Amino acid sequence: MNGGEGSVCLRVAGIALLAFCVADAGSAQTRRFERHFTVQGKPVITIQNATGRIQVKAWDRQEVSITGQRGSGNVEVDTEQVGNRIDIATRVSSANANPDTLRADYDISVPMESELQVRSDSGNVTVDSVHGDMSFDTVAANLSLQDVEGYLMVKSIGGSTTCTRCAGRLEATSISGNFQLLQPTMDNVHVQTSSGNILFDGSFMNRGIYVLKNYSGTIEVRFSTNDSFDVRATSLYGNVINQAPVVPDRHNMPAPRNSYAKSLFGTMNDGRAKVELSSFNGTIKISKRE
Amino acid sequence: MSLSPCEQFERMLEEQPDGPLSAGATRHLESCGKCNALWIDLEAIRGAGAEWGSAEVEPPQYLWASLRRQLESEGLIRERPAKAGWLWVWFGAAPRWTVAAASVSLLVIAAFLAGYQHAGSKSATILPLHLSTSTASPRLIAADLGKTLDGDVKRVFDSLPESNPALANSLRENLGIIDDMIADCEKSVREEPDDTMARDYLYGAYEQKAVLLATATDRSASEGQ
Amino acid sequence: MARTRPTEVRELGEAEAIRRAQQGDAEAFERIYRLHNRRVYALCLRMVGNTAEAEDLTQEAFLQLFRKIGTFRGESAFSTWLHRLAVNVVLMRLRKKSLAETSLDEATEPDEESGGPRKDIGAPDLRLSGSVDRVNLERAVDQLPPGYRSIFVLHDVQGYEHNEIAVIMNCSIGNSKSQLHKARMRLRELLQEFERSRAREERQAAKGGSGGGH
Repeated sequence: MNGGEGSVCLRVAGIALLAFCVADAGSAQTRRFERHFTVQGKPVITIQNATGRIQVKAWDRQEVSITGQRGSGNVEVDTEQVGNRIDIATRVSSANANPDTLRADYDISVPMESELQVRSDSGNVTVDSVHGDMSFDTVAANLSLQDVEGYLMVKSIGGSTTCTRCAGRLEATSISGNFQLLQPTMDNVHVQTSSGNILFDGSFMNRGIYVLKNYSGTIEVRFSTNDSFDVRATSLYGNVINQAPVVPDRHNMPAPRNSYAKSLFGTMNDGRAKVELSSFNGTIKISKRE
Repeated sequence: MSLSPCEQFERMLEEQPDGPLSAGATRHLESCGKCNALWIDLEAIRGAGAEWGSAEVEPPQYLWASLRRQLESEGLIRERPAKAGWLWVWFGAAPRWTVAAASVSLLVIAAFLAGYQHAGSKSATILPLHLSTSTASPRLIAADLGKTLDGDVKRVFDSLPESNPALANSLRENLGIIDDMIADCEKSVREEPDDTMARDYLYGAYEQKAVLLATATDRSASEGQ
Repeated sequence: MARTRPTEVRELGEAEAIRRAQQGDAEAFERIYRLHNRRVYALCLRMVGNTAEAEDLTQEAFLQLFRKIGTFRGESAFSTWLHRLAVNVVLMRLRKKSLAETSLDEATEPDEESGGPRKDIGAPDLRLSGSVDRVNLERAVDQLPPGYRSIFVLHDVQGYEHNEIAVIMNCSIGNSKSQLHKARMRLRELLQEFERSRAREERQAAKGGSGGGH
């Protein structure tokens, strides 16, 4: 008799498990979303997402395609098209739910020439091969830009930013985020972070202006022998370490009025670009690229 | 590809247009009429420019009157009262960084008020009456502003959404970083009041704090919608 | 309008005047104006070549200065900041004018960024006659593109050093030197053209005179 009862229990459990799997598959399907919008010329796409991944890639269609996954039914995705502008926003319908269920992940394909405005609090943001002006407003989200071109504005509190092979112009501020600019072709770069590190590893363009500033941490600039730049580097209470064969400035440059400050003013080759590096108590390194 | 002596000379001129000529360049000029003519011409142009610059030019007298009228119409000119009151005295005596700190604090409070009003929050903060009508000493007012600011900061951070702990943690952590930075910079400015770079960092830190608090207000307001 | 007190105006030091101007003090504004108006006016006049426009630009430069004086934090010398404002005001005016009045000649001028003065093929390399007179120099400067004009006027005429020009023009010191050389080379070409024109006119006048006897 026990064997019979045991097999019934097993069967009930199996049916329950099966029912659960079916239900879960169903809800997973409803949490997935997909939208498509036809656009012309250079569309503007705005994305607001509190938590979750955002990935934007360029393609060769005049269409904005949005696919993604919501963490749960407590999260809604609102999209709206007005002319050539697409607005995408994540809305939390029940704030008391488990934080892990309140995320939304996006995969967005856009025409190569598009303008982006992204706001994300946490959750990484990746943009690949889009050409157009872009602004990013993040708190803890990390930002990765690859092969993008345009006027890039980044405002972050704690998230870090990596730009790889980016072109155009960059204005970026953060409090504790790090910045890495790898192989950039930018002629105007202003990066400021308080406790983050800054790495610039690329060529300086003729008539380019590069201003890198932090409070503490390291600022590292890597150069090659063909680079031509004027450099002014000052660390008020930290250090300046230089490997570049710069010719010291012959004019009387105004020295900081602080006896602790370490400074370097000089020219490499014929000084076509202007490089200003400053730190309150961090280390500034000008290193030769291997 | 190596450059000809004339090309080298012109390259040298481009890098050092004001001279002096190197020994090699001087030797080249002795043997090259073309470059010598170029050098003489460029020196003549330089000299003519300097002579032009030495001539006095005086703008017409009516320019200041016209400018002043414009400044008055824009409200940029404010006549100093005959009996300078305590506010003028304080602004005159206080170190610039305290004035900046008070100004930024006022801006931040204004931003808070705007944020609260925009969110339609029932707990809208009203500037305490005594601060708006006080004739208390300016140091007390600055201290009161500080207390009000601390209270408002606490309120904003307490209303950050619990649904995104990463957001709240990041904002709190970065607020701590900025407050430490402000303390360091204030100390540096006290020790070296003439150090413009330290002052620049201090003002920058105040601005960053204002940005962080505005972000926190914005996030707490938007989550409530 | 309050009476001005010339003695008190003269006694204010620049730093004190700046501080008081930031609070809207009329005498402080006047003091700052008196300290710098000649240099700013000279700069504007030499850049645009006529007094009416120079007056207008001087007024505009000081207006912008006084509107923004509250943001001055002493991170650079005040005069450098002011002259940077003035140069920007002048350049904006020159660029607006060149957009409105582009002639074929201007359109075919070489881009000042791309290599500078052109070489007239076939024309003899005439040396200038040893000195350069002011009238011709002013005419030639008037024909320079705005960027070359700025650098030449700031350095050779107004006497700024390259490190100051780098701050005013927001460029590197190396760029300032390179642009100065190109500006002078272009001036040399223009002055040579003037001399060739003058020589041609003299020859034609001489022919016309000798033919008058028939």
